[in-house]
Amino acid sequence: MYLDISPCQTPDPVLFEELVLHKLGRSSGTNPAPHLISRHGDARCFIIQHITDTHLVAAHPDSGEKALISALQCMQEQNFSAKTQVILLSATPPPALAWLKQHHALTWHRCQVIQVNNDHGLLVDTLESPLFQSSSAPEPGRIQRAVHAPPDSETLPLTEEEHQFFSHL
Amino acid sequence: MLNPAWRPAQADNPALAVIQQHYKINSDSTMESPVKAINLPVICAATPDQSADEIRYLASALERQLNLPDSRQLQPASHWSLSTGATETSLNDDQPEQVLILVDASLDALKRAYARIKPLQHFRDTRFHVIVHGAKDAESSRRYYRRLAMGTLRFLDLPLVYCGAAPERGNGFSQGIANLAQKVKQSSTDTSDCREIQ
Repeated sequence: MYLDISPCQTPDPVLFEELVLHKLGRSSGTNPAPHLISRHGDARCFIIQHITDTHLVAAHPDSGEKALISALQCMQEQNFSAKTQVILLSATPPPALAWLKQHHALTWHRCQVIQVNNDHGLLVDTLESPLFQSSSAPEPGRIQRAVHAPPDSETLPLTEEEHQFFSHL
Repeated sequence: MLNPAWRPAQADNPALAVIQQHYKINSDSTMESPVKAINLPVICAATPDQSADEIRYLASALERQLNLPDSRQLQPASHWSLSTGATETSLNDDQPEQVLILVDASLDALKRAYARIKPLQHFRDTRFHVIVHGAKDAESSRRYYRRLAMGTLRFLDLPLVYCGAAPERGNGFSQGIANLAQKVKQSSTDTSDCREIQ
């Protein structure tokens, strides 16, 4: 069984909003609890005050670029301070993100984009990740995911014959 | 407190009911029935940094998919834990029943994967599953797998099990991850010899 968040099965935007708020509240334990400060586009995009100077802009995974544009306009309207970090949850594919970046350069530099795709589970994981803890300030302006490079010390050198073997398919 | 707005729809919508159940399971700190814990060490082999990101992303999506309950169950029968920081040292402490290898579709990544499998060649009872990431199509993915599998068989006498190609980001991603999770589950419970070298 798999959980497909395709358009016909997408949890309605209100549930999505509830999920994000509830998960954030449980995982971060911030005080005050995260709260909704703005809602745009029929609840398909919303802004949450999370940690001081950190806002979460969440676009519904099924809503595409329209919701993102709405989110970026929303950020401009909110007139966030220069210190404000913005975490943008998005399912928008990279080419569309590049287009948005060009057209919203002024607001974009404060954005950290997290690709959640149409993966409900990954969204939950993301919200529970240390990224949303107050102690780990996000680095803006880039798409971020955790990276753990494998330690080279755990490999053995290849012999000449092995090198030759893996030099072609 | 959940917003009551979606409750009326939930009764008629099985997808929402599953989501809500999944949500409740995550909210419970204690589970009533015992759930089998399966630890699956993951060896990631990627060359460019961007691919390393993608492979990590893939591992987390796969873990989530493996832990989703069956549509007939209220909670998953097993809890899968994919540890991407697996090293020879950590694996040697407790020889795992199975190891998942996520390898990029490039010759450099094949070498890197091989170099990381090499220290584990004494794990004769461990089942090594392989997922190829970034291949242009299924045939190409299989070619990379075969090269790696032939190498480990020839030099280390170690067979591998092919689970498939990692899905591309996009509409088919969820379906692709679901298929991969299904294959991983099947091959981990399959006691027959499903080694595949052609």
